[in-house]
Amino acid sequence: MVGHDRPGIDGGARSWRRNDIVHIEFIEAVVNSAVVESLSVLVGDLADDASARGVVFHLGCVRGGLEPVGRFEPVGRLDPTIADLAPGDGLKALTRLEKVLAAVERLPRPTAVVLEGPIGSVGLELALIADLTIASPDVVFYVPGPERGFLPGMSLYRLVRYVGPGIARQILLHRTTIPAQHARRLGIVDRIVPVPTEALGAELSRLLSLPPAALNLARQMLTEAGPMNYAEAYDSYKAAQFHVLHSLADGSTGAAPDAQYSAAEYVTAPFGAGPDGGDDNADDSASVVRRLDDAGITGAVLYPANVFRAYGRPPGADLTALLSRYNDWVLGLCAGDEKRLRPAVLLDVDDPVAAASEVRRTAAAGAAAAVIPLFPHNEQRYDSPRYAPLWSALEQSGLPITLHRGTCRHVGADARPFDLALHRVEGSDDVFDQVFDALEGSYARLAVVAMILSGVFDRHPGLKVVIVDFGLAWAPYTLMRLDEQYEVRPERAGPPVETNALSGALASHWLPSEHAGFQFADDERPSDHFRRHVFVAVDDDPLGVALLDILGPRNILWAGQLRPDAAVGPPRRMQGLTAEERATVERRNAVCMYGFAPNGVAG
Amino acid sequence: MIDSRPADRLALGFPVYSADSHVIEPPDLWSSRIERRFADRAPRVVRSEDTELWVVGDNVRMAVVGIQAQAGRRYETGPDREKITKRGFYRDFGVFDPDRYVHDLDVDGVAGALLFPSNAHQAYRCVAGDLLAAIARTYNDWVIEFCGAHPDRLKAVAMLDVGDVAAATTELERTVAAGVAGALIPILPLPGRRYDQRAYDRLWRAAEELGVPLLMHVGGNQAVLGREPTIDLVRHATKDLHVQASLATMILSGVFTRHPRLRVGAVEFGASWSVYLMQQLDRVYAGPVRSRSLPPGEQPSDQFRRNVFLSFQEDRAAMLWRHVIGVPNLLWGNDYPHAESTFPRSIEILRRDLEGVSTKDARRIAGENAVEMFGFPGIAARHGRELS
Repeated sequence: MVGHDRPGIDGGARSWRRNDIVHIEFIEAVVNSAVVESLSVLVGDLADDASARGVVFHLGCVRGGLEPVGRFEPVGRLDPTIADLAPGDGLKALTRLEKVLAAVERLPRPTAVVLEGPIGSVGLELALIADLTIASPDVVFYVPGPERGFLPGMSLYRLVRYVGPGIARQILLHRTTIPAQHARRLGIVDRIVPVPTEALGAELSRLLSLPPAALNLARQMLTEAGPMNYAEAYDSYKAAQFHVLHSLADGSTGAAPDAQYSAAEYVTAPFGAGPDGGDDNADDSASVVRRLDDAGITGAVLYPANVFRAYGRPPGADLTALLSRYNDWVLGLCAGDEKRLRPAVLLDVDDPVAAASEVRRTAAAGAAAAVIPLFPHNEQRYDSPRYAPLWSALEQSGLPITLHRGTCRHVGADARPFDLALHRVEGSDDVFDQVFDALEGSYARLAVVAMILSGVFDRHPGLKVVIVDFGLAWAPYTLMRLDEQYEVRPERAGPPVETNALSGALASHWLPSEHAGFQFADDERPSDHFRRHVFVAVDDDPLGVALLDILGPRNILWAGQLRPDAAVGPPRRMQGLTAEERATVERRNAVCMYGFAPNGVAG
Repeated sequence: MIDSRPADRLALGFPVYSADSHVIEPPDLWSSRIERRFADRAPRVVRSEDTELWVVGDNVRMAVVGIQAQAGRRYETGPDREKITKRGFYRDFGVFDPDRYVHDLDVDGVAGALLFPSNAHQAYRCVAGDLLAAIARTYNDWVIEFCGAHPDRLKAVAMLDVGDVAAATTELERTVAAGVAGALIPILPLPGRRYDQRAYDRLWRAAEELGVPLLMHVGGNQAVLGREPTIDLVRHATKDLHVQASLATMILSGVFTRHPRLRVGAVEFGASWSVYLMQQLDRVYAGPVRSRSLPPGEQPSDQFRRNVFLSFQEDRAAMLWRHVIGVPNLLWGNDYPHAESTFPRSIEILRRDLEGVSTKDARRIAGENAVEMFGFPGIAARHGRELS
């Protein structure tokens, strides 16, 4: 709950409440990661606070005994060191900020911004999303130009909506400041008055008198008036942002047009999954780089050729230790040429909290992806809330999840997990082994369907899943079925419910409302979450490529899959792609997903 | 609200047939018809709170009476959607009355329909043995009568208890003689009784010789006997898993090698999943497997295309992949009157999903394949000019 009678101070913002209007004031000029976090908490509280009638953001004002903010320092400007953060951290901070702004934009009650003096880009963003912006005559928006190394968040998208691309280009590239009167003409500022706080009451009361439904409808119509929807623009922005951050980190711009990254290559660890361990053919950094050179591959994400079967071990310290040992080894191997070799670490998810710790440990040491078992346990599907700490750690560390063939937990009676066990007969069952092999990809599908329908990606908007080595052709049906079932049976969303646990005759056919689970936003469908968060890594799949209209290049990564024991030769390239699609699949997506340098490295 | 006026049956330029529609069994179907020795254990209606439901055997809950009659609900918003009470009966559909049924087909622009049960096959997960066989026989007699009122437009599917293969074969022969167009078998039979076992050869042979397809429909899984169903959207969204596994088992174990004229349909699972399954079966079979049951030179996908067909309601990907799956293997269905039904918008949805599909392929998928597979002789003659 946002503070009531007395101001609450948290990080770079403070809040107070008056007449059920929540006020949030920036008490530091710079918006850094800590301030973003503070804002995130305050706005998160607001979303849950039904008693709040409206919210007002104050920037540049001087209040209640706190030290005044320097008058010549723009308030609400992004910390320039964000550009100096590692690409993952920089993007994460900006992503979190955008999430805060998007949450404010969607608050079901009036929002206002009161501005005085020089205002930074976050202030501009707030002005662009608020229902009402009141400014003093000395307000000047300072828009960070491209020389600062990062775009001004989604403010550019919103600015274009306000002023059109031409004026937005002028502001972004040539002007970089917007005085109050200019902002008024552009529609960014609604009122200019000498003392904005004195005008606030009357202006806000008009908005408060509007029926909430009318306000929301007006917002929706304004939002949808543009040619590109928010999600499309946001994805585009994030990809662009990542490239820019990388360009800065590398001191160069642009990607080499012939760079080709593989989302999955395989290395042999000096120990296998078996108890005997030992492998005389273990890889080192030089041997892997030589193989990449021979194949003409610029860089690759590395997976083990001989450790995945460890997931057949029973739960316990042995499994955790073995995976951790592999992680240390592959992190060390990739440190030998970190621009070309990106390590995927393996997680034991039996204890999600411990797995979260391993995520943080390995991410700090340079991990680029994290493998979780295709299927954990029958009673612990990935829609279980037990995994929330792990999802949070992955999201915060910027590590995409990998779901990879050969990683089902084969333990005891769950030797063939989930319902496929029903198809097995006693004894040696060659037919079933073949069926299982053919249907193993169903577990990857099951995993992402469970995550999507339980709202994991809503709660963890930075989380991504890459499904490796199962082709593309399973995806169109999955997308269709997700939407169809949700459309027809939204009331059945949520965790599985055994019908005998319900009371009443309807148990076998109807889920009472109190059991209803995650409900998607009105304008969203489950397939939107799939397209935003699920990616597929393949070498080639002509049938899948034929249906790119359904699952497009943005969701596809190329995987060369150079297994150490494979015959030497050029890797399979995806056929049937345009040059632009190929650049996305073989280069851009890998750069964004795994942090390869976009400028490439000569082979 | 639903417009109850008949639609133009040739709105697409050809007649449309549904390969997947449903009757809803009358509440007293079994209590009034089943053989006397099963009367005490047959499905019977009991009242619980505000609901009527069938219980069977030792009071195992089988189904809620009428709740499947929800056609059109998915297209409604606001108060109209809420009119679907927990008892179903959104609208007094023609599910108990063949004349009303064909009227609703007219409203939907559908010339004819293959009728599956809504509740009888729920018995697969509730009981086994003689009682299940009796439930099936009783249902079969009733649905044959139901369709007999409009034999040119309504085709019945019999339900088989495959626990006793010899008895199932006899029932197949009996019901085919009485006019059924296909027979329902469980997606997966009782535990340990998988379809790769030779015991089923007798049934497969009979179906081949009679020229009737065997059908696996959503919801008919005998391997979960005794389990309470789980309300789980994740399972619903991946419900093709079992039918994929059963079809893969039949192909890889050589069922279709031994019975090359046997046709098995996967009904209401959609169709585009089959492309991935065929890919994977071919991959696995080309690898180091211990036993091979297919003739030399034949791949699993060859048998899939020859012996398996698929019904769907909405599956744009399957239309785009139709030449991979095989146009003759794709049959459209409206799933009337269930919640997933395309009723009363079937023509509109077909027009959308068939965009870019040649007229020749479209008329096969939306009608001719069903006419050929299930035999709608009367209507085929009536529409002979159109079909030609």
